[in-house]
Amino acid sequence: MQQKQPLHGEFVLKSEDEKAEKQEIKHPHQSASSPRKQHNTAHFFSQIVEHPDNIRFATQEKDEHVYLVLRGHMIANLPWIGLSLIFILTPLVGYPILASLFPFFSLHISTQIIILLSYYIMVFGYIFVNFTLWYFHTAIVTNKKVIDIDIHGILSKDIVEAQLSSILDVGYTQVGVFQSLLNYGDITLQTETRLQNLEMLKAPNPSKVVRMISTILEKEKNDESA
Amino acid sequence: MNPRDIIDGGILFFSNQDLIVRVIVLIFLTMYTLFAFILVSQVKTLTNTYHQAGFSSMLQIVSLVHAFAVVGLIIITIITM
Repeated sequence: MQQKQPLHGEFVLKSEDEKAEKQEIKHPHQSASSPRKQHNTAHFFSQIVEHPDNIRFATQEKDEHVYLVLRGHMIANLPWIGLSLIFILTPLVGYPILASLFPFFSLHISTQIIILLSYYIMVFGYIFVNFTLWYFHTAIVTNKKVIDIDIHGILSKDIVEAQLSSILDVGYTQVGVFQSLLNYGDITLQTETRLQNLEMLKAPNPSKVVRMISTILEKEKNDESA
Repeated sequence: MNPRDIIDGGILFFSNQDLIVRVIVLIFLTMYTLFAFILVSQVKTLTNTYHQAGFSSMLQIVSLVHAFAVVGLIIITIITM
């Protein structure tokens, strides 16, 4: 008589659930569902970094851990990168045209070099400013709060902090073909005070980020209630 | 000084294309220096707000090098006048 074998799928699922339960009991802060996982190193080009070990911010408290750091999608840099390439190539195209248009305007070679160097220093400044604006335009989620650093210009910045407990809702919007194709969008964190909604514009993979933030919020609320 | 000498000096200055262009470049570079040093201070402020070890300090160095390169270019422009 053939003995009835248990279904393989059922067995695997059960064993994983048991493992997870055991891990949850032993290390409540290191389970798979917990926001506290292994640390990652954030690079200058990183857009989403979970548990970065090399990031700190001005208002960070001693017992405050960074869970998530978010920057705008790389595609947001495309306009200024394109413009920079045009600026870099302009002298190569423009010089022969200018020389043919104004033959009477002849400058010494040293003056020409100085003009060219000045021009390229300014182009470098333009690239550097735009990169800096993208690099510092971040959102940080910790175990206590969410910090939204908005850099609008070199002399204009807007930093908003909201306690995790004050966040009511997390959502995102994706508008247009590019945002849908390249999977980026605007994430909104609704807070108790209507005037202080946090926005993370052009965030990469917004559905994943919203899920991650929701998990963090849920975990922290459970910790607080426990 | 004879007014004639002043007029001659003016004509000489405006007949020298290199000199005129260099003066214009100097004016631009002087204004740009101000911007470059504002950039240095802003990068420093932003680094204090958000610090990413290993890279934020590199940004500060790049901004400083950029500012001193502008100052260096001003000096070269004046010396080679």
